[in-house]
Order: sequence, then C-alpha cells, then structure tokens
Amino acid sequence: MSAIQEVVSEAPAVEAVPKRAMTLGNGTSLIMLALLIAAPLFVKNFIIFQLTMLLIYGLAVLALNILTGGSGQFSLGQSAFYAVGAYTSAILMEHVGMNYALTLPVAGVICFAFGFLFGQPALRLSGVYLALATFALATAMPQLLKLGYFEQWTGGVQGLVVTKPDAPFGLPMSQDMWLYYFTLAITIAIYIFSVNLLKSRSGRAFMAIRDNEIAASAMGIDVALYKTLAFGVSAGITGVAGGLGAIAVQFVAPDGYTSSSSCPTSRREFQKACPARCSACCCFWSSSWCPMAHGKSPWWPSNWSASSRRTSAISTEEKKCFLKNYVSPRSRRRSSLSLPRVAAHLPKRNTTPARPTPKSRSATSCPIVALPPPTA
Amino acid sequence: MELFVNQILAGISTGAIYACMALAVVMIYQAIDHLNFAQGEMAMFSTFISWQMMQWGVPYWGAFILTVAFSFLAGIAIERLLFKPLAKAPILTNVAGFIALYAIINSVAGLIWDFTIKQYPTPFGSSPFLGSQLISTHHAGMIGVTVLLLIAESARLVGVNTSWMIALGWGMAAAIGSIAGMLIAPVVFLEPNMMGGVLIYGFAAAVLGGLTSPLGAVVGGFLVGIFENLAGTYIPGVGNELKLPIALALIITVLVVKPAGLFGRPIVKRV
Repeated sequence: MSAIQEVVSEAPAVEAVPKRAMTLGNGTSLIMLALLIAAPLFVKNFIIFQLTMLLIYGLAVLALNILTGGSGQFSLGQSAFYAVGAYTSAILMEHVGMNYALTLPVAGVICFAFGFLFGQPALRLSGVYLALATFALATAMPQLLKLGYFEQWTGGVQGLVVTKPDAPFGLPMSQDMWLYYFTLAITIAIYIFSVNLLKSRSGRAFMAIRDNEIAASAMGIDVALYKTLAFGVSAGITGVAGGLGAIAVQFVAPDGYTSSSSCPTSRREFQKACPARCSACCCFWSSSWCPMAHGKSPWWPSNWSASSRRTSAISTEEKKCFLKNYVSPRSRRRSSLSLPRVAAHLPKRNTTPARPTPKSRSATSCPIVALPPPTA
Repeated sequence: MELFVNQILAGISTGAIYACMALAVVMIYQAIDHLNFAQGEMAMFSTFISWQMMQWGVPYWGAFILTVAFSFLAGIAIERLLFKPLAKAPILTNVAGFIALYAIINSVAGLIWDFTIKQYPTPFGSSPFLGSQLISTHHAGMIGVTVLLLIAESARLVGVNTSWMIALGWGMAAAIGSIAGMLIAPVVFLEPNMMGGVLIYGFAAAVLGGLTSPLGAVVGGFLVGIFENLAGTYIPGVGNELKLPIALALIITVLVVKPAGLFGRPIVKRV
C-alpha cells in the first residue's frame, strides 16, 4: 500500500444527473403540502404522532444534508446533537418551567454553539477520520448524559418525563394534532431557511469547500470559518429537531440516543431505515427550490462521484468555470439570507436572472483543480 | 506504588481485548483504506454463532475452529457481494455501507437470539494467573492469543491490492474479529450490544498505534488499556462512567496531534 494518496484521480469526469430529474415539480410539491396539512384530519392520534416523528426525522436529515451534502464533512454523530437538543428542551420545560415553544430556539442556539465547538478539532480531520471522530462522539454521548455530576438536572439513567402541551387558545384539536401542525410549521420554516442558505453566498462557499477545499481557499473563502459554521448550523437544526422530539415522545433518556439512532432513525420508529429514504421524505417540497440546486444531492453516489473526478491540468478555462459555478448565481431565485463575513473576493450577487449558457449543464464535469499558490 | 503496578497489570489484561479488535480493524484498513464500522458487529455475530453451536452440543474448541472458518468465508462473501461494487465509489458511499451493515447485523442478531444477556464459557478458566488477583488465566490467555495473531499476521504476504487480496484481507479480518469476540464474550457477557464500547476502544487503539501497522495496533491496544485504567484511577471525576468520552478524547487528540499514530507511515497527499 502506497503511502502517497493521489488527491486528484485520473478517471474522467462524469456528467452529473441533471437537477430536474431529482426534484418534484411545483405542482407535485403543492399537492404534497396540501396532503400534509390535511392528513391529520382523517387519521387516528397514533398515526398523527408517527407523522410528527417523520417530520422531525426529516428535519434532522435536512441538517445532515447541509453538513454532508452541502459542505462535504461526514458526520455520523447527529444523534449526539439531537440528544443535546432534546435534553435542553426537557430540562428547560421541567426544571425552569419555560414555555415549550421558547425552548426550541434556546435548544437550537445551544446546539449551534456545541456544534461550532466540535467543528474546531474537526477542521483538521477529513473523510473517514472525521467519520470516526463523529461516530465516537455519538457513542460517547449516552455516557456523558448519564454522568452523576449532572444527575439532578438530567435525571440520570432514568431520564426526564416531559409534559405534552395542549392546543392554545382552546382550539378543538387533540394534543397530537396541535403538535403535528406546530412541527409542520417549524419544518417548513427551517426548510425555507436551509434552501435559502444553500443558495446564498455562504451556501456556495460550502459547496466550493466540498468540491475542492484547496481551490476554495485559494479563491479567498475562509475555509475554517465556513466548515465550523456548517457544523454549527447543522447541529442547531438537529437540536431543534431534538427538542421537538422530546416534546412529541414526552420522555428523554440517555439510552434513547445511542449511535444507532444517528442515521437518524430510532429503534421504535423506522428500524434502521436507509438514509436515502429519510432524505426522500424530507425532500417533500423539492421543486426548483431543491436545496442541492446545482444538481449535487448527497445521497446519490453517481452524482457525488462526479464532483470528485479532476484532471491535473489547469487553464484559464478551468478558472472561469470555477468562477461561474461558485461565484455567480445559477438559479433565478434571489436568496434573501446570507451569513455574515462572506469572502471579500467574491463579487456581489447580480440581481438579473442568469442567462442560460449552452454549457450550463456541464458544471460538474468542469475540471476544477487546485490553483497554484500565488507567487510573490 | 503498588496501586500503580496493579493498575498497569489490569490495563494490560483489558488492553488485550482492544488489541485484538484493533488488529482486525487494521487488517481491513490495510486492504481497503477504509475503517470498517461494522467490525464489532461482525465479531459479535460470530460469537453468537459459536454460542449456538455450543448450545447444540459441539465442544468448545470444535465450535471455535468452525466459527473461525465460517467467519473467514463470511468476510469474503460480504466483501464480494457488498463492497466490491462500491470499490470505485466515494468515501461517503462506503461509510454508508458500513453503517448499514452495522445496523443490519445488530438487528438480525437481536432478532435471532434476543437481547438478553447470556453466559459464555471461557477455555482458559478464571482462576488467578500466577497468584495475581488482577489477571485471571483467561486474561493471560487473551494476551497470548493476541501475540500469536500478531506474529501470524506479520508473516502474511502483503502484496499488491488485487481484488482477491482485498477479499482475503476481509476474510482474515473477520476471522480475527471472531477470535476477539469469542475471547471478549466471557468478560463482557454475550448480548447483541456488547461490542459497542469495545469497538470505539479498538478504533482508538488502532489510531494510536497507526492504522497501517499491525504491531502498532497491538501496542496501541495495550497502551489504551493502561491509559484507561490509569485515567480512571488517578483523574478525579473519571471513574467507570466516563470510559467512552475518554476514548473519544483520545481519538481526537491523536488524530489532531499525530494522525499517523505511533508506528504508522505518514500519508502524503499529492495535490
């Protein structure tokens, strides 16, 4: 086995699956949305509960989408952030008496901080080593939760019981139905947020880092900041999902968040469903608003492999291609959200719709390589 | 001082477990450059098969040999059926494959043999070894088997990565894993989740020793066992409760400070 790994492989670039093939159309998305809104009116409470859990897991997979599909960092440790979010929500509801809706932003912020801090040592790891470190985090989390030092807050091995909220304003719906609509509203909001995030400059920075980190940093993107931000945002969304999960299940316990639920599924619900299925159910409304707007979806291997083929030549055409993909917007939607401190060298977004060029589909076959370090 | 020496001895005896697991992990890493997250579950499954054979009346050593042979063939089969098609695929696909295998084997084992804890016999007996209270004969037997495996592995020809060499690597890793499982089961008791913590420690040991070196894996295993015991004894607050977070901290520290490990070869990435 050679001790030298070629980062740039010799295989030819492969055309990616076009974006349109993997998204639902506008009409289909609206029908799905209508179905989701209407569903609880016709089914029993337990099915509503299961639909709620489906939405919550979809939310967690959405977070993983931002992290792994967006910025290319593998994480098998989502269950750790989910657990932190769930416990934060439970502790705030039970010990501090906070309103359940207010615990969710707090859980999100705390998990964001936690994910941001974990992203710092993760900066130096990549590929299978990062997968290993996050796997170890997921496995170690139940023990941290059982720690005797925190037992008066976390309830130790037995965990905490959480009271389910009633529908407000005396609305004539059951607890389960209210929680379902509450979760649906939050899921839609976070979905819109993440779509906008991935289409903004920050999202393009993530995708540039995913595709070729060295070239991205040569273009002026602050790689360290964006990688840790990706971890933080993903952890924050997973934390919100965890908080919702705690309220829905009405119970938090350390052994409910083992590493076998970091796919993310739980033993009770989907019994180790394949991640692609979960991401499919979280992409209900994938129309032209598909988060992976550039035709790169994380769970399609053929697509993924397209972005890892590079040649070792470099030319001005390739530099232009890189700029076109990661600097100018390709979709016609204006993104309204952008994280602060974007790269200074990236030009400002223009507001006119991008002219479709004949080579616009060849984005992923564009041979992008590391640019040489600037001389002088 | 005596406490220190006792802890070292106890650390060596638990380290033998981690060394066995780490050896299997390194074996697969040498073949395919990926970490097999399902290694622990494969070992657990093999242990269950040997337990089932013993329930049916096969004597211990017969079951042992049959299980090792079965695991070797099963490892080759898994590689041919599941991971050969993924050979050219990117890392994420392979990692997803390993995690899927982890989940599937865990659940299938639970389905067939349920999640209650079972007793598993030890071939070496549990009497104190040479009069010492800390190492039983079983632990001494584990250390002996680990060293034997290391010698046997070093003698294997490490050739070019042709596809049958990869299958051979998988088969040997599965066989070593099954031996590790059968040695560990008397200590941690047989149930489908027994390998979770051991696997993390095995990874920590493999990373510490260097993922490209079997000797490093064994040395790393003993070092991790000693470190775990000393940390549990001397660092306040860390008792039995923080074993896995200690392993996590160790993995991250080693990967950040010296990713090649103690005996590994540094990988040079050509851009």
